[in-house]
Amino acid sequence: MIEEIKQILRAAERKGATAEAYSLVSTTTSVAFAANRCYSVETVLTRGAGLRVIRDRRIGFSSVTNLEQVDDLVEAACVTAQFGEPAGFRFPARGEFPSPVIESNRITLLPPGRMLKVGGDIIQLCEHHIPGVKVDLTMQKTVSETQLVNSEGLEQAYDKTVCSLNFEGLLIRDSSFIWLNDFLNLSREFKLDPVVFVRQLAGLARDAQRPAQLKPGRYPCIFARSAGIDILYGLVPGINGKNLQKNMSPLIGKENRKLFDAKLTLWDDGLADFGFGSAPFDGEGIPQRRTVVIENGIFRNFLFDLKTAAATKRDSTGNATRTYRTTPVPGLTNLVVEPGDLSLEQAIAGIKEGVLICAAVGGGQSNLLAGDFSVNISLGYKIENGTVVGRVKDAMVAGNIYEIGRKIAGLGDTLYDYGGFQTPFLMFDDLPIATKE
Amino acid sequence: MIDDLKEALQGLDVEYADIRVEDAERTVVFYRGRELEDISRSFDLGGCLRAFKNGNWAVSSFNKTDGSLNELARETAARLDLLPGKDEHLLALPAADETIEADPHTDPRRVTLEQKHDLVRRYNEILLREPKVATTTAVYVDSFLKCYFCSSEDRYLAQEKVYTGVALNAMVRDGTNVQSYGETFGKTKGFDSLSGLEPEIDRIAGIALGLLTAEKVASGRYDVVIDPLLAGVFAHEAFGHLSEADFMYQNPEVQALMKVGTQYGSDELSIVDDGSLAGERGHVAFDDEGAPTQKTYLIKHGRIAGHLHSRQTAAKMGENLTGNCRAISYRFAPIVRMTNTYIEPRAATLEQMLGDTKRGLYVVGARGGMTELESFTFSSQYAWLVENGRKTRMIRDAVLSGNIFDTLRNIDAIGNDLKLHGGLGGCGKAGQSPLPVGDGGPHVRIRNVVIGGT
Repeated sequence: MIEEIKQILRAAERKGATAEAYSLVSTTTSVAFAANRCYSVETVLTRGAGLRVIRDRRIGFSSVTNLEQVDDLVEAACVTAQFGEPAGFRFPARGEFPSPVIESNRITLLPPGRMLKVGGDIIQLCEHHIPGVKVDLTMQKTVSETQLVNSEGLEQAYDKTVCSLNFEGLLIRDSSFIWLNDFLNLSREFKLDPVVFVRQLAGLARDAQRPAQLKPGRYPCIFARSAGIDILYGLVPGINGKNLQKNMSPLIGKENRKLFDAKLTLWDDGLADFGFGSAPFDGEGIPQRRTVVIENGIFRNFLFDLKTAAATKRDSTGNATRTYRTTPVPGLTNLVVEPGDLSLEQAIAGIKEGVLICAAVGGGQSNLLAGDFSVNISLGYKIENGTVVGRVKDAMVAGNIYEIGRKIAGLGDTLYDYGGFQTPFLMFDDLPIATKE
Repeated sequence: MIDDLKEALQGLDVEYADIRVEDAERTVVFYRGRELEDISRSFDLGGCLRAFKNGNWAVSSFNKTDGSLNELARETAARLDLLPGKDEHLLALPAADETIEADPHTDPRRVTLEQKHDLVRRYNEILLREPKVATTTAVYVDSFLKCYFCSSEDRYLAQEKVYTGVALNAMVRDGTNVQSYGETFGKTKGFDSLSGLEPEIDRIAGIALGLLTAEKVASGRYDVVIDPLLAGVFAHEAFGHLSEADFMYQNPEVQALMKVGTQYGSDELSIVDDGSLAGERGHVAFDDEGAPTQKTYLIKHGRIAGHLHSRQTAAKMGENLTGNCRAISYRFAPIVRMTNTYIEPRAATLEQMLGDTKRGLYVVGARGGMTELESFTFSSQYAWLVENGRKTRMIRDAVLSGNIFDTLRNIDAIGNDLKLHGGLGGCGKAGQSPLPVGDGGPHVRIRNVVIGGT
């Protein structure tokens, strides 16, 4: 494959362009269960190449899946460059690259039959421990090779394996939905105990079938499981170098200032073992790294690709994200929050009246750039005198991450690993909850 | 092409198999403010092969076209032996051999990149002319697809699909007050249908500015007139998804709610899904498992009249095929989806509906929302207060919520001005987004709707 994209590069150079050719070859294998029954076994075989050119100092881009269409590809990239933005950067030359652990032979060799067995075990246990639940479950593994060459002499490739489980359980009770969702990053090794996994979900299901009344007001709140990500996601637009360049980030001019609670340390970790966003180099050949974004509450760094770094007179942080079908843009690699020292049991035990939020859905209705969030609590529980007493329904929690982030009551001692996000639970003392009275 | 596909499916030890191949060309032009963020072209050729036996599917999607398709078909079919069997079958379709070509006038490949770039730049400039506009997004996307379908029933179909669209959004700022408003246009009628939108683009900037001074809505119950855009979102999101048989057949609660014949509205109310409407965003001649699209009444004269099906759900529920099994691309196996979903028009005029509304809201578009079985929440784009039959003041942040079946019963007037909306967005389901769909309706009045603020 690397010979093929070098040919693309040479063809673009013959047209008077400096160029970068990127390719991805991957095989995804998955087994799926729908409504508790085995449904399908699928493979996705993907290959494609993207060509970015700088011609007459302007950027153009095109992509192709059929590598016999090299002429079309080069022609299209050069034509788009007639209209493209001026390039304020050069493609990077050869360099030294780190070697994050992102490949496991055990995942490469994992047979679909084994995924099927574990999925079947989980569903059998669910039917027993969560009567009436309808489970959609997918297990999937991807084995990929990424290659990048450019006119400055860069010529690099890496292999990567990723494996995950996605669980969506639905219980319908009194015409309301109880969604029990989970996601596991299994890239390190295909090891999970179905009994432990289902026991946890059964606990969530049991507590969700007891309704609890909650008056609108301000309460201590714990954002656990995927809800932690929903809250932190409010920071993502603000730390993106693109929004510094566009003068839209609320963090402009605030580097090295203490904006958050000292408990909060947050990394963009491009080298995390088996992180979904980990790689030796980013989408344009810059070495990936660990970038501290917030350090003990102090905002330290924005995240850049080459284009936004050039426009803001900074250096790329190795955060160019892309596929072969898209041009690079700055994005997260893996967002990792340093854990605190609270266990979930301790946190719950310390609350007199409050809310444990395990899943939230956003309406896409709030001003994300400003850090506002406003989410429906899709799976949440009322805590009374240190105990979970039942499900909170039809409730919303709203706020602004830059405001509530100034005072964090506590962080959990273990990370939920969602592949590209690793976060502990986050606890706040006093957040406004709206409920249907 | 078809001969290769035929050969690959021959002699497989399965109940049913099919292959879809898509050969697509796309162009994107994307401005953010004055910066051209992306201008690119892509060529995407690939396929999806499905085999069915003992109630299970094996699927391979691929774009490595150099390998042997025959080998892939055999490997895919062999994996079915891994899966525990169950007694489920598929509805069959007759043998066929049909080719459907796009009208050459609609072919965006005949338009130069310069013309495409010029169009979106010009529309973007209209928005940027207004000093209070802080930034914009202006996007042009087109795609031309040649799709081939071949099944083990000797059913061979070739069809071309064309999509062209623009999406324009203006963000306005006055001190710390930031508002945004946008619209999207485009169907399957080709590049020419996107010209002459200047008055519409002017209106977008005007509405965004209006939102800067609009009052926040006061919560309460209102009589509400919804515009065709919101009527479409309502038909699609709040009702249409409940009609999709894949969700229904797994959930007895939903089956009971959606039983054919159950009355949920007045005799005037009919809701339709129709994939055969040429020119609309959700139009296709055949769905992605080779079934012809058709007009399906979901509600007719107030009663549940039908459901949306794939070969598998139709067989399972003992109903007819509707041509609603669709995929966003060859990378996915098709699932039950809508096409063009709308409320049928009746006799009322907008003037009449507003005229006999004493105190209410005229509500336009939807910014987002969620549905959960019977309950829905939609936040509107903007609204007008209606007092004594007249629109008086612009209102923002109105959120409609309620029970879908109660709300259908509370529809007391249906307009004569059906409009179907397309644009660049689409429907998302099971990780497949955006699927091109159309939705719409006429203006519709609903009594006694709960309105909350955000």
